Amino acid sequence: MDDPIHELLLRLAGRLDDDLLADARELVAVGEDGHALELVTAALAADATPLPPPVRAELVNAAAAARIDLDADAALAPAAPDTTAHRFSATADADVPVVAAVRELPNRLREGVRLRLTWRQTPAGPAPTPLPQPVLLVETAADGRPGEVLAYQVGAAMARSGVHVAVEVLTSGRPLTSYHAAALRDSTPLSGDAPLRAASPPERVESVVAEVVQQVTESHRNAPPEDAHDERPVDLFAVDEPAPRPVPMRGWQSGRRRRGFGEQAAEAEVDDDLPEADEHEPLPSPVPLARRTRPRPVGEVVEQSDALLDPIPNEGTWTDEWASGDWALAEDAPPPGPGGLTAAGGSAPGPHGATAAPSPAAATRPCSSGAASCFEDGDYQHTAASACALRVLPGSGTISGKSHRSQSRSGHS
Amino acid sequence: MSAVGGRQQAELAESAGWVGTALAHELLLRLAGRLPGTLLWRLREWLAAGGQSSVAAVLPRELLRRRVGLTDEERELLIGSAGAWGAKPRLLDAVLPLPAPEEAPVLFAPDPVLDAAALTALAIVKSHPGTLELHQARRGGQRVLVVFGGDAPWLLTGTLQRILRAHGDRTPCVEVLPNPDPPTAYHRAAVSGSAALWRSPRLATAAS
Repeated sequence: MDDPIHELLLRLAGRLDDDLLADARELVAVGEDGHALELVTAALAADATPLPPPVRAELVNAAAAARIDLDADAALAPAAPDTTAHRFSATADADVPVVAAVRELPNRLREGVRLRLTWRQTPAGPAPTPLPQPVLLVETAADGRPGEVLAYQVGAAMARSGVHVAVEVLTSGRPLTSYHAAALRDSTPLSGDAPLRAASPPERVESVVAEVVQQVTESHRNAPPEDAHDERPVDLFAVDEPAPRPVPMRGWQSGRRRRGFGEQAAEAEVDDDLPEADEHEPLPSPVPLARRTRPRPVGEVVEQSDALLDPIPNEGTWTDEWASGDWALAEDAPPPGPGGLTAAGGSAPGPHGATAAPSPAAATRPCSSGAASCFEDGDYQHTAASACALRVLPGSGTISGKSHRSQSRSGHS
Repeated sequence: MSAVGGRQQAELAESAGWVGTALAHELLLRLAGRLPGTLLWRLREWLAAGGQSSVAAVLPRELLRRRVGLTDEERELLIGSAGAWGAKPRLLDAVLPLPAPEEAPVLFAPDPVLDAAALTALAIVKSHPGTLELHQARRGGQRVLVVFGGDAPWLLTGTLQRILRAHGDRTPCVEVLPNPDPPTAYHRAAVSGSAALWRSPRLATAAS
């Protein structure tokens, strides 16, 4: 269980400048919660940043509990609905130094986590640093290292390499904010890391996740029988196509293609002990999510590369790939077998506009009883717990096998 | 209360608020080189944004945490600003007394380069009422801007800080000195070790 202040800081991501968030996380990591809350509350109050009611109430309560000098309730701006929508992109010109710095991270920091890189295109806080701002998304298991400690350590290690990157540590099974959901959607996997040691089973997921799982389950009681057994662990980094605008939750989205972060690496090392039920076809397109959004000529073969395993990429590679229009490969890839990651209808998303209209087949496919689609399904109201929630993955051989293995490993750890 | 009386009260309140803000700006100037730059720029940012209560809540505690002492004159500045904005008297009293201003040696090097950040700062300084000079120096690799003159110097400070942040300076160092005499040894060293980027024509007129 993460520190509640760390959870609160996650909800404040995008509302404060990244330097202050990093400082606050460092303070929380060393036990100076009150100091962290003092700085964060003072900054939000000085800038008159409006917060959604649940987040504001949580901050006021935390500040009062920490007995900071500032009267948070009086000093903070009145609560207001969230109107700030951050934009992210999966790549940027400065990819190379950031990826190189990630490769230099000590193994201890990369063990048991999965990494994604995204670039925020919008300012955060009243005095932002240059854009785009790199954001390193770190997924850790629920029983892994504390998020605030990991954020502090990874951020410090990256800074030692001369790269100032915002580090957001997200815990498997915990609700996502809309900020982090948007960041995940337009991010690039850095999968040269170890699989998670454990993932939270859906029945143990708390608060919003469990609630949304139940809602979606009840709304799709007539789910196809082939999906009835798909009760998968929540995969925080299973992201779908870019969806810049949240849309209302709909059942048809649950059957869409989903892909867990680091699946490619997991596929390459599939163990023999994986259950037969997980023998699905491999991903139709090994192209990372970010690359799938780039134009790519139809029929061109795409070579999947892992930014952390391959040599440091030439910046021109992205340009060439972009110009080649090779992004369309996924659309022409053979449809996966039953339970594969690709949604019914078999088409991977195109560029950004693709999210506007779901495929008819997908629209008619409800999610399984154990599979909730809420991550990008758009119920992005910032509740007390979060703005949106995670999904439970539909059937996926790769993810399932990985999950089984992870669980078995966690039993020995 | 009559309308006239209400207006007078409002003017008084506004006047009092500005006085406190000016005192806080003066105090934050004197704390240059004594508080970490990462904290100092943020306090100045809050002051420019009108976050007096934020400054009042954080500044005394940071002085205590870091054992930064204040001279009697500086303490009056603290009481006149943070004290007036609600800082706890117990905290203000606990700030360490300092018999004389601290004058730690700081080395500055002139930086006459007009890069994009300096050009933007120059445009802002020239258009701000009351400004007289803009200087630029380097303390190690850190850019330091020194401005002489300027109405509402805390507002100019905040604007210049945001400009420098947008150009990649994570801990902007902007010293807007409302008076011709540098208040501390830090500022005297900064001015003597700086390059003048601009001087107001009013200075030349006054000299002639």
